[in-house]
Amino acid sequence: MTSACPHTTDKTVIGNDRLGTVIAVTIASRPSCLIVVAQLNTDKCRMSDISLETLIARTAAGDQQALRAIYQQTSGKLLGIITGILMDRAQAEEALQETFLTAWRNASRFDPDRGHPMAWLITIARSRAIDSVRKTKRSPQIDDAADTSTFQSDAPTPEDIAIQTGDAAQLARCLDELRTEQRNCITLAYWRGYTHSELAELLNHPLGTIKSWTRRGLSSLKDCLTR
Amino acid sequence: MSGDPLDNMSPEDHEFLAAEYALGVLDADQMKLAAGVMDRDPDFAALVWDWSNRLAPLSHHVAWLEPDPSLWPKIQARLASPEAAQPTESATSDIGAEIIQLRRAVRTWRAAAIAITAIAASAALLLFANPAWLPPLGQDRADAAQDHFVALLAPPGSEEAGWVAMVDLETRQIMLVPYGVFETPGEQVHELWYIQDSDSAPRSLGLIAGSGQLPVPAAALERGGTLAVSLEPRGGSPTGLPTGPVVLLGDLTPIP
Repeated sequence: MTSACPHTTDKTVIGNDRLGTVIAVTIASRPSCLIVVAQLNTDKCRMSDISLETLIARTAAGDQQALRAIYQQTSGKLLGIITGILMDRAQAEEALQETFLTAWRNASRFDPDRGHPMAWLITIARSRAIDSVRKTKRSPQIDDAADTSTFQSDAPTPEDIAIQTGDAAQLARCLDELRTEQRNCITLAYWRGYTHSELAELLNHPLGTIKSWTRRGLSSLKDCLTR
Repeated sequence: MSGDPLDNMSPEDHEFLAAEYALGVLDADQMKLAAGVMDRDPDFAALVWDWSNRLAPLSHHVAWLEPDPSLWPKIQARLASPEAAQPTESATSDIGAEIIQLRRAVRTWRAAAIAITAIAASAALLLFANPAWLPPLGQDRADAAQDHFVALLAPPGSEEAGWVAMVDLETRQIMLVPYGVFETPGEQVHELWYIQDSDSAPRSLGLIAGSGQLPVPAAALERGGTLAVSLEPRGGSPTGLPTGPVVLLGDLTPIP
């Protein structure tokens, strides 16, 4: 783009490619003055090629198609996370609806400098699921959430790459360094949404012990991740 | 509530509360308390965000569960309801949101600059290789339905374009590109208007926050007409018609 030019009339496309179009704008009265305007093809790209960050920005501008593209890329992952906490498919799908309505309302608050867009969506999804599960009385059950052997650093699938949230291998390594009881508190709380009291009942230890295991685990985790 | 619950906590306990909140281990009452602190204390909110980011890879191996196909239509139907209303320009104009918007604008334009360079390079190459490929300027292309328009917005009576507006009727977006520094005096804002013809009243297309893309309300634009920018009080024109001076004006011209 050149600097300011007088009011103009004639426009001609002088080039275009996958990225967009370059238009030359000339002025009848002053043919020597040429403005080149580039028009980006973002709307002609496949939505799946557009980053989550861009889609969230477009959602903030009221673009429902952008929200739909986010849904297509992430809804299965988010439903898996929510179902892990709620253990009820119908309730989980209700919480997934709330997740996307919250994302729609709050998209303008998403700050890319604060973290990965997928981490933002996961935070919304977990928070909707935990809000919902806190309203019901449940009996905690030991299950494979305490087993971190499935949480290994195997090669991510293309799908994982599209919605990655950070360094899973590093987190897996740091979790492995924790004492078993500390690790159990953290993974059961994260994957199942258990409270300190529920963990106390489940693991059959006093509340104070559970709280200190959790805190020591979180503290060691942070030390390991920032090392 | 009397006093801030964080007042009696050590910085270490702040961090633990943030970590436990992000982990989701707090009971309903503690969670409510932490959510309240998060809303009014940006430092605490930043701690919670750091922890959410740190823990997010725990979701890495959660199995994908395909939602029922009827779910998206249900969400879409709810987007139009008042519960799903997005904050308006004036509601989001707190400092935090403005900073996020600025950062986003910088990112958008950085990406645009890279893409423009790429296109310009390929265009230059084409011109160099085959100058005859360039169609004559001013060739008549008024056939076929036009969905793309450009307007060079200049102050009334002036020929110096201040902004270029690119309108895409297909996606209902207007892209605004400033040529130079465009300052808003004091508490006022720039509002974009569409005037279909000399007989019709201006219709507001929204407030301009920095440069960037602006969604166009469906059915607001016809093929042709004029865009104008006026200075309005914060929050936009109170009457629905321009109340302040028109600072920029330009006709929409179809582009091939």
